[in-house]
Amino acid sequence: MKPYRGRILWVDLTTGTCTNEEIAESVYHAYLGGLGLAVSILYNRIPAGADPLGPDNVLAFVSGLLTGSGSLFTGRWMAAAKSPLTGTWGDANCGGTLSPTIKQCGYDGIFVTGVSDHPVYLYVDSHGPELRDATGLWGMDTIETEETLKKLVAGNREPSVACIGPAGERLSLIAGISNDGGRMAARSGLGAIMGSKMLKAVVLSGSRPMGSENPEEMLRLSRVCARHVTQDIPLPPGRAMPLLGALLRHLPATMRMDGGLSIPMFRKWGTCGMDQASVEWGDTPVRNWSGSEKDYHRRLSNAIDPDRILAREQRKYHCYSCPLGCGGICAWQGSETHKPEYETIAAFNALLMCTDLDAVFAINDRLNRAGMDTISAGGTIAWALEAWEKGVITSADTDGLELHWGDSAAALRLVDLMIAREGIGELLADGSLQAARHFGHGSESFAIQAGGQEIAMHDPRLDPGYALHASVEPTPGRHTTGCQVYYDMYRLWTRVPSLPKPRLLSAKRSKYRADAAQAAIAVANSCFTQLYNGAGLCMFGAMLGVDRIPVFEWLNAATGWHMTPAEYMTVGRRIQTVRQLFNVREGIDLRSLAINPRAAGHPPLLRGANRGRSVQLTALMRDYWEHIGWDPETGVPSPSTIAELGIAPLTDTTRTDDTVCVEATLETDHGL
Amino acid sequence: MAYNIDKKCIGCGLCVRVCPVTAIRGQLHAQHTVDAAVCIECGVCGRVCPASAIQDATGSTCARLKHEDWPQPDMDDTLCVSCIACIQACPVGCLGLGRPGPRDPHARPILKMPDRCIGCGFCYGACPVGAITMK
Repeated sequence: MKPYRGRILWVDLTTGTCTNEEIAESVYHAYLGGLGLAVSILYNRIPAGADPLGPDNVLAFVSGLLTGSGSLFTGRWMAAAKSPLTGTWGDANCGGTLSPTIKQCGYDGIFVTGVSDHPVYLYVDSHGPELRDATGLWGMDTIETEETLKKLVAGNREPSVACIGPAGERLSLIAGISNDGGRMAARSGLGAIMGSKMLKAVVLSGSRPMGSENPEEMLRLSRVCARHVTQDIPLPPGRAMPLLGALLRHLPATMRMDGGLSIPMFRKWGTCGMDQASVEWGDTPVRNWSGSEKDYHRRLSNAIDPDRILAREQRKYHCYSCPLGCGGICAWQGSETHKPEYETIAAFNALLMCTDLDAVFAINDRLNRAGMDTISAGGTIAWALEAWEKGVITSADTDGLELHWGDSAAALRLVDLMIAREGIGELLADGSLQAARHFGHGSESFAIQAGGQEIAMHDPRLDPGYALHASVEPTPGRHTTGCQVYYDMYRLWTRVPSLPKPRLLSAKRSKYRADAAQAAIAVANSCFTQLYNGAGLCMFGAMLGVDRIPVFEWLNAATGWHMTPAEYMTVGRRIQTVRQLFNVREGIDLRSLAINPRAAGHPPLLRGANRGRSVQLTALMRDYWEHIGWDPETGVPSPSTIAELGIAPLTDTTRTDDTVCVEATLETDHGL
Repeated sequence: MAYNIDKKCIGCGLCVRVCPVTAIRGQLHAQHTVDAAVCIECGVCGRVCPASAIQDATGSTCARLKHEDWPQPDMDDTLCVSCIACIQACPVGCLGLGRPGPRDPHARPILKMPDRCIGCGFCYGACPVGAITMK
């Protein structure tokens, strides 16, 4: 059995019709599934210049090629469309159970176009797709929506639900898409697209079995991989983590990082295990990227001691096919909530100089329920606090609310205003750049974003790779697409011998050199990221290193192909190049997507872990573009690269099996 | 390929009642049919058919089995990695997570509703680490 279905579902909300489209085998060879499949379709099907919140934009929900194949860490689903936040190619990535359910419904992806004239949700089961009225669901938060729909469509098995909350309904440009009780495909503002299309939710209840071409080999590979994850390694208590961070800060040299060491930390604490250490190390931004661990010192950061967070955890949360279980379910106000992640904790503590863990839990829960990106929300509030401090925003703008560093109550109030789009929240709900443009007075200079999207809580002044990837990535402002430490962890040189192997120890200053080696590892990061996004692999799994997580071997065993790791990396390069071509077609000046200079150390910090450090971003971007085969001055993929990658024509597809969707009105006794 | 019902069908309707995806249609006392586009090949129809009228996707006639003889999943917790692939694969929702232990917060899947299990083995096929046997 192939691990892909060879079929996608098209849903036209304007006409209320659903159509199946068969996908040629060659498309999977060239683009895999997941984001690769999405870009191969959307580049052709979203018209140039389409309004991101209009009927022509197409929102894709795609499952990774390896999902359901017997591999591990491969339960990621991805949403993709033209981003309303950045105007570029947009995508977001999430775990939970949606990815396998897309395939269990018989599809590799669901592509939604048009605009409905009233709220609807898409229901798909073994009998096919159906659009249903969602008027009664409109206004509900994501958790209420999911719980209501699960009761409403109750059958033999529980469906998987992806939905928006009030943020998406109100077209907040930093709205995400929620599934599995608040897991969030948060970035690129894709929740606003569902809101613009009046698509409240996608409810999937398929039961078709999934598999692979060579299940025996998949089992052998997965068993070996699992052993690297589940071995119990004793770890020090949480209070030792800042000492680890401080040690890394003081060391004169930088070490090649081994992801095998971070996996036990993720298994014990989840991503929150790194928050306090990262402040000490210089990875977490402080005070809207203008401070350091000298400002947010250990007495303050003790509020986010990972053991304090772990004490609230009731049980571990595993996404589909994940042996790690970095997620956690915590008790919260008589109910349950997902454990806050590193990014959320950093964004609402160190970035704002706050120290209230209860407030973080409250904010995390509210943003998950609203369906709003915690990274962008935190970054935007950090901008607002600095704007208040500088007199750009006054109490006249905030209806009397004072915005001071370290005031968690004010941050919580701003979150509520942003979700409700009330008062100053009306402006902040679209991100820091939009707000800065409104208020002016030079406040764009401290809107820490790239291309309009707030960058995540990892400091490029510690790892210049973050600056580079956030700037050259076709979805700007992203942190998961690459950095120098990720390259260490991915250990790609063990499978692709042409790639450079970093030294075990090297001088810290060497990280800041813009040279051919940096370009080579950055391009390898990009290609591998797109490859694993095509496969549906979780980044934390990838951090094990490809000699421990056999993604290349899984791909061959699952599909029956015989491709080399280098050939798979070319697939990743192809996906990355088409994503860039999407932006070129939109007429975007690719140089304009560079991150805010402050985050790149221009000017450099005067004290703290990253004092005196500046990233040579222009040179790094030029080298990256040249190395991947794009114009080094403009970032436009060269004709020879396009030809070499065989990018045109992009798809070889034939529409078949037209099916008319039947719309049913929900029965009134459900209280809708 | 999907399951098929032949002329030996007596139209008793047992298969309709057990099919987890409502893929079977037919009038009482008349030959039933399987909707090939809907059938997930779980095999439960074949296990309940009193007339040996059902063939699997390879054309082999399915043998009737007493309900107590239907195979059920047995999880090996020493191999299980809590990845929930089995729970996700189950077409009847009979699996769920057990309670996490005091020293291991990673809850393991268990057969929560044995009476509901149809013995399809989808969980067995979905387990990435071979922690499930059908007994």
